[in-house]
Amino acid sequence: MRSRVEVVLSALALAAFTVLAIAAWMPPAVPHFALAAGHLERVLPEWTARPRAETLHVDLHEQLSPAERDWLAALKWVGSAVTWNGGLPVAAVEAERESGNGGAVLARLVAAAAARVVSRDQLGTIDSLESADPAMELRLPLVVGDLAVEISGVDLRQAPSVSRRRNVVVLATAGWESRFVIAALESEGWQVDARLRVGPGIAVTQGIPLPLDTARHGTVIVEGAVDRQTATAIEALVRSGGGLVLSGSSGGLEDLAPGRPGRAVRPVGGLSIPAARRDLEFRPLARVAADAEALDVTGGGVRAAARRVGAGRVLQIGDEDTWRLAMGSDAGRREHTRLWSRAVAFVRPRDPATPTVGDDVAPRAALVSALGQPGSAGGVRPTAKVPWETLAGGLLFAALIAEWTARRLRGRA
Amino acid sequence: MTFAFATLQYESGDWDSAPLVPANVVDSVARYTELDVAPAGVVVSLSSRDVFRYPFTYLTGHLPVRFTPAERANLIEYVDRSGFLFIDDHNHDIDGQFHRTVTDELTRACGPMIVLPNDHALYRAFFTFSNGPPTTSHELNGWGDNLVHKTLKAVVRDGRIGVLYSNKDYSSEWSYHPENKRFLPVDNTKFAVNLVVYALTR
Repeated sequence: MRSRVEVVLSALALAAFTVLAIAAWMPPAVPHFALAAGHLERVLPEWTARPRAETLHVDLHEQLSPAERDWLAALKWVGSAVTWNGGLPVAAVEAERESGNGGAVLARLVAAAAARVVSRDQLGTIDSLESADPAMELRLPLVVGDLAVEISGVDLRQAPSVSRRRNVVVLATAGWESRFVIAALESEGWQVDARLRVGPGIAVTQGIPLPLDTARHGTVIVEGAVDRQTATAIEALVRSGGGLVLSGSSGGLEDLAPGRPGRAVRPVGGLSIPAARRDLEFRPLARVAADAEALDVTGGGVRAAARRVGAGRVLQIGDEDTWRLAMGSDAGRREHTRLWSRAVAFVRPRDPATPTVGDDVAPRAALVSALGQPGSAGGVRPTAKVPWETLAGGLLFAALIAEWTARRLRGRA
Repeated sequence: MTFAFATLQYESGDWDSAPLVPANVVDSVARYTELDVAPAGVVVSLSSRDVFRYPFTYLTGHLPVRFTPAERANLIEYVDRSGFLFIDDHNHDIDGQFHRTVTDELTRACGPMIVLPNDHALYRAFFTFSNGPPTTSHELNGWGDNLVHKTLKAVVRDGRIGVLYSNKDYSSEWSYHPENKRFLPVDNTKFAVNLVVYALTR
């Protein structure tokens, strides 16, 4: 009986020794690492070589390089719990070279309030300013090479993408309003297809306005009524992500409209030649839909409202005869151009940007996209694991002691 | 929005030499299109700011034209802001006083005119005129300079006609009471519809 017990104890000791030997041969598991940016270049290869990496937390005090960010994202993808924390400033830039305006670059920026923004190109500094709004637009008439923007110390660089704006379609009865809207949009670089009704079954066309095609057309402007077939096509375009701007009565599209144009209101002291938009006659939008947002409210009522329809947006403008602005004065012409260009920009679908290798235009947003929202290191909880090495060591020790005791007591019982 | 046919009044010369043209053009636009058109033409002074209420204007005369500084300034602004001005030489005479003085004024204000090709969009804006501007009976009768003018001229801004200039004397051709169209085998005001439709759509 005693010899059997000793054999069992010897087997247990051998098994425990084997476990310990294997554990000694393999690198130890690291349950939790806290690293700071700047050391990542050295640490990440080492960390990645560990076969049982489980949790990693990075304290960021400076911007990660795209390679470091992608490396961490890859670790997260293969199962490691990667978290980050730190006060990275909000900074993003998107630069688009307009097809019109002599190739001017439109830079859209995101920055914290009162952040210092410096724009540069290959030739040197272009401009510097302090951000007034979180979202800004800069139109830079001349940019040589890449556009570099420094926002709160974060350096961003992008090769301006060439505008691939889809065309704007104007469907209207021939008149000054549609004619001046088209001219205003074209002066801003928009490509416009138009169908302007002139007589019974007769229309003047420009480009290929119909049938609507999501590959060619992004936004539709409707002034006046449309037939049922066209209304159905417009609704399909909007629901699939296109934009729609309604001006005037826009009959046939009531289901999409944010509101209903009411009776025309002539501003007090309104001028026959308006100096500004406030001098224009307008039809306040009534019965604004519950899911619509009033964008411009004046004393006379809602002047503009918008709503989402499917994946697209619909903007309704109550202003009448905005062309009078364009004819009235140079300032009015600029305001008219701005009004319609912004209306289209508000509803137009975002065309997919052409990615450029090396661009890092929104580092914080990219980090959140890759690793999730920032979280504290304390939030990291190593995966619960069984301490096999300790158990094996204890078992080995106990088995050896028991076997030694058994041998010492042999012959005494 | 209502289209109004506006005749330009200027201080020199005889701006009102074709008083029946507006009514005749308005009649044709209403007859052939469904455009919202004011039933009567209006007269507006070129020196007045009111000219900017009318993106389509018509100017004619027989006598020498000399714009005042205010008229010239308004003309420059008018063309720059996408207005459409149709000028017709009522003399039908390329050596006439009207032609020489008004083209001189136009060149000073808006720069040189170009010859409008006869396949321009203007000639297909509503009716189709395959050979360019339609010939007038006054050209065929040998009045004025005894020429049939094959082309029109224009000041073009941003690809659009800002000023359209004619020596063909449409002012005489169209200056009759609209009711008398019924006596014509072919309505000779159809080209006026093209002018209006072009101005409203281009």
